[in-house]
Amino acid sequence: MKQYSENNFEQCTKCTVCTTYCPVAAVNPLYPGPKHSGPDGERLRLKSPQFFDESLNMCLNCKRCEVACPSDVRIGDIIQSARIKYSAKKPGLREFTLANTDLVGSVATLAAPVVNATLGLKPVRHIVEGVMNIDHRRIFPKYAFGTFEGWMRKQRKAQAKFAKQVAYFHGCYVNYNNPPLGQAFVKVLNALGYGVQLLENEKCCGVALISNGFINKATKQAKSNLESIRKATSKGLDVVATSSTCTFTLRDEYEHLLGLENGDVRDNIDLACRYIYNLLSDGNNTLKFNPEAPRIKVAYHSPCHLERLGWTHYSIELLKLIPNVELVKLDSQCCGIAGTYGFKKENYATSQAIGESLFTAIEASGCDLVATDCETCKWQIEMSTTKKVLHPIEILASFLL
Amino acid sequence: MRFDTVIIGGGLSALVCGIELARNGKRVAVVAKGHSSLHFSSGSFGLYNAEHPLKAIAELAPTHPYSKIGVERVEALAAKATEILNVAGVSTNGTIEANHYIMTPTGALRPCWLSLEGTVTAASDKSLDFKSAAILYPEGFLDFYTQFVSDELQGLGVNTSLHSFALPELSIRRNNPTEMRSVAVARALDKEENILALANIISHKTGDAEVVIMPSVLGFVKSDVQSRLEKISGKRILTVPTLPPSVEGIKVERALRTTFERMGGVIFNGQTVVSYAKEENVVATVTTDKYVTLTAEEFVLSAGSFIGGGLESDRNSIVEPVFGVDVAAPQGEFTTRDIFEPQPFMSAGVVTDNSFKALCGGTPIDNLYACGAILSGFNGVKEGCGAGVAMVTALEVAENILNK
Repeated sequence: MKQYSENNFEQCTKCTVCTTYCPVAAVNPLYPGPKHSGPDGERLRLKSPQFFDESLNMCLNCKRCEVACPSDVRIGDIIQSARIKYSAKKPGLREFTLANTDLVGSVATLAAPVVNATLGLKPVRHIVEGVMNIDHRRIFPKYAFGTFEGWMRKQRKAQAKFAKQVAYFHGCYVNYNNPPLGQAFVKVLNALGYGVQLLENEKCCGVALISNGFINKATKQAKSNLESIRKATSKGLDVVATSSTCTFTLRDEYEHLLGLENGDVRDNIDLACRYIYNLLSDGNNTLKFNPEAPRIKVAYHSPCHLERLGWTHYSIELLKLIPNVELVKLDSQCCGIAGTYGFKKENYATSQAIGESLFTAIEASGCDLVATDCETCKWQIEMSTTKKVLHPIEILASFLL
Repeated sequence: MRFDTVIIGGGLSALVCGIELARNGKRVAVVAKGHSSLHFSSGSFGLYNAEHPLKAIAELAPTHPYSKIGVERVEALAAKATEILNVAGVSTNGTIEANHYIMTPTGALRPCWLSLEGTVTAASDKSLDFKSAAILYPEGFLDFYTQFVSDELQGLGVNTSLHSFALPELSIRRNNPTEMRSVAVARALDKEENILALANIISHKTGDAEVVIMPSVLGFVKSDVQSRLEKISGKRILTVPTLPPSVEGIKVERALRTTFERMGGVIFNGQTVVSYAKEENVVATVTTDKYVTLTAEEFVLSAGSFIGGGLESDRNSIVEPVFGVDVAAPQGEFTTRDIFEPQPFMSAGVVTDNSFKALCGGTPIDNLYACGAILSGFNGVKEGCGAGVAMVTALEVAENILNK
């Protein structure tokens, strides 16, 4: 069908399938759902911006509406673009703190033990709730003492020895909270004969800036990242990320929400699990697994943005290649946290209600641990269940000989 | 990624074909562009609109998908389809020999092969097996036409009364009146407190009618809401399908997807096949708009018709967009002015040989089969055979692949 609008809302047939699969509409009767907020509302907003409704801020940008849509309407993009264009709500201190993951991270990692201990204290969490409207029940991710980038600088010579190279987009989470995931990625790539290098100047992908309304800063960082990515691809390097949301943001949100042209490098930006799966399936690469490793049962949770990328099966198939892993695929559903959404006091109840059936399924699965490609899903599941959550790459690395 | 069979499409036909192949040991992938038209169906299934469907099927034109299979095999495959639905946990009533009747959202009785348990059905379109009915509906719910249902029932000699009910959660939904839809009501009725509240309303506020008739909104995830309401209230409850989205249709899709995955099938959600690679007369790989490339021995094109995207049209032509295989399009106008008349475009579709291999330039492609709504030669609406053709051709294709 011919498209006349900036986005493709006129392809909507009003079938309501999107609203049927919206995790927010399912638990929060106040949210009108993606059809109403997206294509229906867009028709009116084109006439007058006064038809913008602040209920669009209830959307957690999981994009499950887009995965469900039989007509290829980018419903989630329509809603996010409308928020960017029309929302009168200006971001405050809370949004600034949650959105600037790299700024906050670089300060926190300098004093990680103190920050972790302080944020773990109940009275502090109540003060944070009072001052910032961040729910006191929400548990903050722990900060690492020293960044991943710092560790990588010491690896430069060793990594440069490999003939084949990839550039790693580690993301804020690996850099400030979980350097061991980045180290696991390096270990697996090295085992495949690839050296790992950093981008010339990696900035936060900007997903939290976009969702918290800091569009100018997000655009600035995105431009900088694209410049670094272009420098890498021009040297023949692929850019690989462990985080499904970073990957999704770099590939899709830059173009769809920030209007930045990334078509020249999009095919070179890949997700770690998919990249490694494809290396292993081309017949020239193998990994040697430790035959004496203990047998474990792993439950795989599909993050929303990975569903939207369409690549969940690469992570699943990669885990299935590990001889001593028994894999259970959990029904694909949103865990409820959606990055910074679940941290906000007004969203906490919705966030936990969305995830409830997932938490029950995880406990019932009898798994030893949960695997997922998304760091915020990990925080949510670790906070809400008794299970530890690892990235598939961490599991893969731990089984290598 | 490598599979034995890749099925393009994620609707009734694709999932039935996938289940049959997967349960016979094949590694199968389904590529689904969003959710299927089961979301717009009543949840019941038609084989053919005639008093005795098999007799009518035996008389069909040779280009009809049923004619390519032959009436005896249609009968056997229809029985197998019923069995697959049963395996998936979809319990149905009905026989292949004679149609019975189901009530549509506007109250009319229409012929049906398999209907879901607990719906309003009848042995003929002249009478029902109850003489009085209380019609009970949620306040503010727009997708169920109570007055039409009541009028039709009265025309069949049934005494009716109308009753509405409200629940606090549903009253909040009415803040967005257009979004007070079947799924929202059904979700509310998954909750224990709402089940108990509704059972109380049914017990005390529906008079002494023989049956209570409600829209099909009784539980979205839970499957026992209707039986529990009957047990607590002591009343016989029957349902009538609503306008889309159809809770019962969604439950059928969910049951089939779960069964397919349980049997080892893999579903690639939210993506469309946009290109393929061919070697000689054999399809080697297909690639989706999400840059997923799938390799397989056999491919099944089950992408639906115009709504599903299996067929595309402009004012002059109808095409199959992925492989560009042969399409039979109407010779003259695509539409007729009277909207209630059979529309010529509805019989358009992919042309196959008798083993359902798609033809390309008149020659069958060795490993590309087509099944379901994408096929040419039938009119699912006029003939009431959409579900029948979807499942029967899916099972014929599965059998052809398994016998290779």
